[in-house]
Amino acid sequence: MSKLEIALDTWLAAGEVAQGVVARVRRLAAPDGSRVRGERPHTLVLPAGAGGARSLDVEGPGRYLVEATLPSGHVLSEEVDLTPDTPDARVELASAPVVGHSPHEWLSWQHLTGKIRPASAPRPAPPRSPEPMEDAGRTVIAGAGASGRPEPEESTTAVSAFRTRALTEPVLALRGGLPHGAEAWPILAEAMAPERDLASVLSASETLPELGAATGSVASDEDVALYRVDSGPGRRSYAVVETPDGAELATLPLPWQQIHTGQHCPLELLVRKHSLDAGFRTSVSVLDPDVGTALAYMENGDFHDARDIFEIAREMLYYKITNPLAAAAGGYMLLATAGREAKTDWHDWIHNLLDWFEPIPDGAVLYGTLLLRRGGDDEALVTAREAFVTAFERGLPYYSLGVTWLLEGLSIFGADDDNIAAKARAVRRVALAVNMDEAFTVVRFPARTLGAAA
Amino acid sequence: MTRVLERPRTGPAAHALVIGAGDYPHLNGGVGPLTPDHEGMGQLGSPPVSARAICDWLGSEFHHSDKPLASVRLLLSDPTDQRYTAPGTATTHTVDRAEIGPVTTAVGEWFADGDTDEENLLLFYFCGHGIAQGTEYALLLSDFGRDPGNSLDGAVDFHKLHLGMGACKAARQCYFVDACRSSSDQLIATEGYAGRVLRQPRPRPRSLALLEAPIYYATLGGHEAYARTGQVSVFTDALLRGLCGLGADDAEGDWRVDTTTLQKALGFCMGLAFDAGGRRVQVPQSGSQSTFFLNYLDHDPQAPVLVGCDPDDAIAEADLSCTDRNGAVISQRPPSGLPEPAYWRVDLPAGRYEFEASFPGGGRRSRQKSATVRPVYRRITLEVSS
Repeated sequence: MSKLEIALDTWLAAGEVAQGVVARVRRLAAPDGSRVRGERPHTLVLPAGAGGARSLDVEGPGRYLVEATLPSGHVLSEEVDLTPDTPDARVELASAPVVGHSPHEWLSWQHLTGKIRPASAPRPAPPRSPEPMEDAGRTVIAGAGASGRPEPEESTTAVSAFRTRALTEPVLALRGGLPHGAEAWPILAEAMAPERDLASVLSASETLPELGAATGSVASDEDVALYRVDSGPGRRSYAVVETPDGAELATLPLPWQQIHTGQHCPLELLVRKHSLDAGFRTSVSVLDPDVGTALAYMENGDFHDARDIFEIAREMLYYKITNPLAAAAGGYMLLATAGREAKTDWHDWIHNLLDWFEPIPDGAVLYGTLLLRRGGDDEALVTAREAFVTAFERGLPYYSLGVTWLLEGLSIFGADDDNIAAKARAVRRVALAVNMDEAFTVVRFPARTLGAAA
Repeated sequence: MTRVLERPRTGPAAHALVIGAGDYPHLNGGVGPLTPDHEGMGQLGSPPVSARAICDWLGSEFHHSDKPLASVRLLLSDPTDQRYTAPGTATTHTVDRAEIGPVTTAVGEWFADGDTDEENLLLFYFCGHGIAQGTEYALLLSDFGRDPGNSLDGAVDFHKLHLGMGACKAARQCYFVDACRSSSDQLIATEGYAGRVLRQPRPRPRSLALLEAPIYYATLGGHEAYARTGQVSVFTDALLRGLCGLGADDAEGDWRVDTTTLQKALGFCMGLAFDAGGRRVQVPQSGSQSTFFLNYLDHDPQAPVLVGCDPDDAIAEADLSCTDRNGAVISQRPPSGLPEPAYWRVDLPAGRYEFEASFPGGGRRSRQKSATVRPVYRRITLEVSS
């Protein structure tokens, strides 16, 4: 038996992420140089951010290939020869030659997860005929690097283009009352109607805290603004981001607790100043050392690597459900990657997610989808139908994949049920405005009169 | 005629439906009246070429030990030529146009073929215009806009097609969509009507195996796909490279392309294509991602190697070479005098090679490195010192 110690040379302002990057190790050749075929690679998850390493027992002497796939999709690789005389080795994978450096220390998480390009990469062209941006008069709190010192080049730049604030309940803002659950669907749809004056919607949030000042550091450069949200009010929270294009309502997955320690993890809210094709500007990340990068893999469409990270914390995540929002994300990945040979021992806890965590619609979406996909008797289909109705009644899913799957379920059962068909139509109206390329649900409202909201 | 290849089989088999819509009479530059819903879209040269290339690959290189190819249906809208000759056959087919009527019929037949055996593999490929909004995605066929009061009558609601195919016995299905996913207000105005529903979504019959039906999109939602006029599109080129070997792995002993490694190959190819001068990086994205085998290779795959230097700028002066285990020079690149691109790309059969950077002009010491080349790609950095 030989041992490989594998380290990933990346740097994160937030410090080390215990479960950071998925790596695979495969034996290429035996000690005599003959090619090895038919061996499945080892999979392990490397710590990221502070040069930490992880050990792996391998078959013995021979030549090995170590490949790590970053959440951004970039692959780092190194080969190593182990001999009877040197049966162990350390392998260092350097990310900078492949992905470049983060443009700023405060963007290091966004850089690792592929949400922004490296400093040397060309930036997207600014929008044609940009709308004049209103100055909301915010003073930015300096971003701090690992040393704790502020970065001078951006620290005094005002965030002039955005009014960003926290809402405890979007429907509260929309109607001034306390509708929740199923009432969210028509209210969100109504807010998208051409005749709706969004200013009156947003004015309801006047007394609510601004994200930047109230909840953490904010930093900005000419391309992006970054908001840090350390905690929420303990119930459903959203951020409304106003831009010249309109407004975006971003789901804030709060409270988000580390699955082993119970400590609250901060969120980062990235707002792009230049709209890309789709016009979406807002992105939410969770700085969770256990599953934060799994969410990034999920967002970038790499569901298998995301699942591998969630699986490390299987016991805490799925059976003790110390963080139901993280468990839901893991559930999406398990369901999305499930093949016919997949284990089924997780099916029961999907039901627990539905039963135990009523405020989270995603549990019901997952359970309905699970029943639909695995098939079953007529009773199972009835239960699946009920699960999708329950999900609808619990409101907007935290995850955009949940919006898609909810719509799928309601569409299937709506074929012979007018009541469910009406629910499918209500979800579809909102789903048309959801950014499906984000992990967490972000809904866009087209530009209208926004001036009264400041 | 849509069936351009037919190989009768008993037992599980693969059935493909390939659609290439390039001629759009009711979009800009078309021969018919311009639809008010054109949204700036025009004629496409690439889809017929890309669709033919996919059919060629299916007919000549697709190999699946458990599910041999049984049928290929092709629909084309090519302004100049509707003919297609499958590789290895002497018959030239004049194929039906990629319009809603023939496509509806072809989807029905394709479903029926898939429905003969739970172990069947269904492959779907579309290249043409697409518009998207949120979860909705309309694939535009050539008669999009024929009815100016209902342009989307010439489109397929892809999301519902995918859902509706869940009722088909074939438990493994794979979808490749090479089209824009540009945001369109049309789909907001129609409140989610995204074209004809070709298969009504229904629960999967309880007796059937778990459905595995990944989708590979050419772009993220809201973005445009890119093609080179009259050539195979960027995504289809990447797809063919992936299927031919770039997405292969030998964990089972032989080289096989599966749905997961194919995705990684697509990501690499697309990124490289745009780093090499394209306008914008396209990121392929799958929906559901179960893993199953798509193609078995009967040869070692080729894989690209990106050879660079550390420091980066040394590549301008470097004489780069690659030799095989016998010392034979396989490929060589003399000093370019340019710092970009920061790597030399060479495509090599899987195997062990020696890479070297030497500096004829002096000033730096030569550096050699051995590396094993295998899919998806290798990046070799030669650390050269002064």
